[in-house]
Amino acid sequence: MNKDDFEAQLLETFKVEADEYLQSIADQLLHAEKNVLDATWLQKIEVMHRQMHSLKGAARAVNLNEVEWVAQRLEQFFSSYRKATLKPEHAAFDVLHAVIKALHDYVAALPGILHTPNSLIKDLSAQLDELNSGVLTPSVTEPTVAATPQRIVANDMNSLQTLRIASKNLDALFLKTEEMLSTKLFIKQYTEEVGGLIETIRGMRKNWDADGSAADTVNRLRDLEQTAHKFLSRFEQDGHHINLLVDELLSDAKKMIMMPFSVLLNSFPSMVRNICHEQNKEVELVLTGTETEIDKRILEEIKEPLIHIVRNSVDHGFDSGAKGQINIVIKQVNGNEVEVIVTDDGNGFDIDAIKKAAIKLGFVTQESANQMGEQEALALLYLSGVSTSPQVTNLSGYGLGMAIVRDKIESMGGRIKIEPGRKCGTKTKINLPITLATLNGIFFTCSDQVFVLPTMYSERIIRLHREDIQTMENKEVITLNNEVIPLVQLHQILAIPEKPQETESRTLIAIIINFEGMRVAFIVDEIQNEKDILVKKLSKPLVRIRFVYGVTLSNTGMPVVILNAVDLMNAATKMGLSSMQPMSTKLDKEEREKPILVVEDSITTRILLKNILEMAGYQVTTANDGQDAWRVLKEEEVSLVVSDIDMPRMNGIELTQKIRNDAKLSELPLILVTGKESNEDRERGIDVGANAYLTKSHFDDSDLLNVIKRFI
Amino acid sequence: MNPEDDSEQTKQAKALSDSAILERRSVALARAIATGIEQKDQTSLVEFELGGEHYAFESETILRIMEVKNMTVLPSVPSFIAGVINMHGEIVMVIHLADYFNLRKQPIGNTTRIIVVEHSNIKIGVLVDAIVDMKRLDLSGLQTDLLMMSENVAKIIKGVYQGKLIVLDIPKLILSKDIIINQVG
Repeated sequence: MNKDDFEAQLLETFKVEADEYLQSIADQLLHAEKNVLDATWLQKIEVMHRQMHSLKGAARAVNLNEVEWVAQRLEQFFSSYRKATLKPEHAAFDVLHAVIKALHDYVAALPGILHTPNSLIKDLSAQLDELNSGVLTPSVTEPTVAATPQRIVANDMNSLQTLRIASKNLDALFLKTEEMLSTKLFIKQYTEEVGGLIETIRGMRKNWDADGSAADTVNRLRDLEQTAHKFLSRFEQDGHHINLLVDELLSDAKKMIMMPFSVLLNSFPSMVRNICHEQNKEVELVLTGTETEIDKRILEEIKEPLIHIVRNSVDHGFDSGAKGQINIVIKQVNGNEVEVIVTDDGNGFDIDAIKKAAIKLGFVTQESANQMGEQEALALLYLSGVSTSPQVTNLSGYGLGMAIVRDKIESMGGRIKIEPGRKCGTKTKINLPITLATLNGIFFTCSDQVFVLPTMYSERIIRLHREDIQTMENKEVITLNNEVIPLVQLHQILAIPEKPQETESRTLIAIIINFEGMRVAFIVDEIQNEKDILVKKLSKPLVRIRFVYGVTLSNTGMPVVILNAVDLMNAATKMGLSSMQPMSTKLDKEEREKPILVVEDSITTRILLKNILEMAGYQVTTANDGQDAWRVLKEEEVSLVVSDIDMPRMNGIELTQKIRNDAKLSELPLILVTGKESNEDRERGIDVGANAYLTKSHFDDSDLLNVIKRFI
Repeated sequence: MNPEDDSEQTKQAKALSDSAILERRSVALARAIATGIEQKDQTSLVEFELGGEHYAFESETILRIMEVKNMTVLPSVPSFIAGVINMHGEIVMVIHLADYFNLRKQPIGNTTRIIVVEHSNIKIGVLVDAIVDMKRLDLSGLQTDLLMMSENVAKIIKGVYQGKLIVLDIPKLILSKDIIINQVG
């Protein structure tokens, strides 16, 4: 099932669920109205409150911010009744009924839109405000209906606090900040060299001391040693300070060069107006999400490609005299990517013309062109040169330009896809990283394969002779500055074949990795160079590979593995414990075969969580509430529990307590995932023994997966 | 056919027997229908060799077929992962299908190719011993009740064409949980 199908299915599930809640609430409301403040009143209110809360969570799972917002206001309402801070008036019930009805109609009409989300909110908001006039604490914030409003739009207040800085000054500042990274590493290196110096002095002093006849020299050497020690401790102190400063400086500098798309796009509408004026067209450019921020360097690079795409749309998508619209929608996706979608409602692509041009230039044969589908034909647009030929003027602007556009986007670690529009016109989707993910890496070979290690983990590179290698408890070690450092063959850790050696060379090269104060020397073949690299993350079905941090591309476009230093260290230490045997992966597999138990009363959220976990390769079993979960736990072995808090019959807190008090299950990892955001709830969750507490409103898939990884 | 022509022809045809004409007509009609069916029900396939056996993918799932160049081997992955390649800046996993199916593994040679397929926005490369042919076949009569299949083949098979060509189901392969690599550190 692809993502769109899944989303469509999820929405259907949501509609059924929402219908149930809203029907039930409408019924309860009738009862409550007839029996205001009697014995069952509070109970009814409680049920409505909980159901509204579940509806809110479910709406959030399918990104229906407007429904979520209305549900949230109603939830507050019921909460006020519950706490008796609001007196139930009969007039209020009319409004409540009307709001529930409107919400019901709105959801029933999905995915079509009955009102625009904004008008839904405006209508209901006015009605609710009327009600709220009696509430003692009506602090409700306005919703932001725009897609994923991760960053706040700069308002007038903020702009007053904004300074103008020449762009090139900012760039220079950023580059220098980045260079501080190497300073940080140098200081570390110097600190160690001073350590070495002290060793030398101490050695000399001992020699003289043994002599017995040179007390004067020995004293002088002792002074020298002490002075050097003072230096060392200063170096260490200042080095630590500099480390912190550089890290903070760099992260501040990165924020500084984040800029909203509006900086780039604000000039676009007038550009479109001008082109339209020249060509006698009426095309309107509509921008959405321009407050989304991105690395300034990417923003600068993307300018030309975007102008090109928009120009193409106006030039080729609309005939003279035609009216139309071009939309640019920008939003942050997956936490570290920005998606830019340009659509127009114009004529769309002339597939035949594209094919003809490509045939004319000999890229494809007539025969294969005939067999090509639309997507394949559109891919021809990227072939540089398709449009350079003067004969194909109706394509000029598309072909060569698109080749450059794609190269530019890919060089930044982004990607582009051109599609025909849904009904007509065209759709171009561009995904860009939020920041240029560069890091400095050491390129080296091991068993004839090139690898990169992020420089920040490499403490130093040493050459050693075979004679320098000692054995301690059956393990190979070297001694450096009086410290015994385990020595391992990198190829052995990675379980790749050893390089066949013609002659046993006397000197070996090892990279010393320092991770949280622990050092291990890894023997490699040859060091090549050190440079900045662009990190590419793995994509499905490769989710995570042991020892692999990511991949970068060599000058020739070949993928090069960036090693994960932390994994290497873990493996090396484990190897040390299990007498140099290659690690087995069997245990991990067994661990993963036990399913994760998802406890959630909203079926929409339940399916969403199940899907996230299954896509990450976990087995999943589910339960509808705490009581159901308890039954599952008695019958099945699970590896971890992910639970909601607010649920009927037995809530997440009660479930947690029950698990913690059970002799067999008390150690079971448990993560509470909930819509509740108050610290009080968090503390209550942790108090009763939850291992982690995630708030739905700001977790993306990777948060949950990262937390789970900590426990299994 | 308009009535005037028909009457003209009928007069001439009286000399022949009516049945002969009817027969000729039915043959012509039958042929027209047969060709129509043939074109509609045929599926375009790419046939390839794997450990001495013949397999096929449906062409519509194939993005491109390329030589094995610039493939990078990954450490610590199961042996059915041949490595990764760079396709327009995107890192694409290459699966060693012969290994995955437990067939005889051929060394990478002149005829070895990577077939890049896509489904649900996931791309993977498939390493095959050689491309044999592109053909159009009617897949309606695929044999699906098969006994002698290794488990991994059975999971992603569409069926066997006339007992010798195994047609594989790309979406099933791509979405198979067995090929997801998610190792803990």
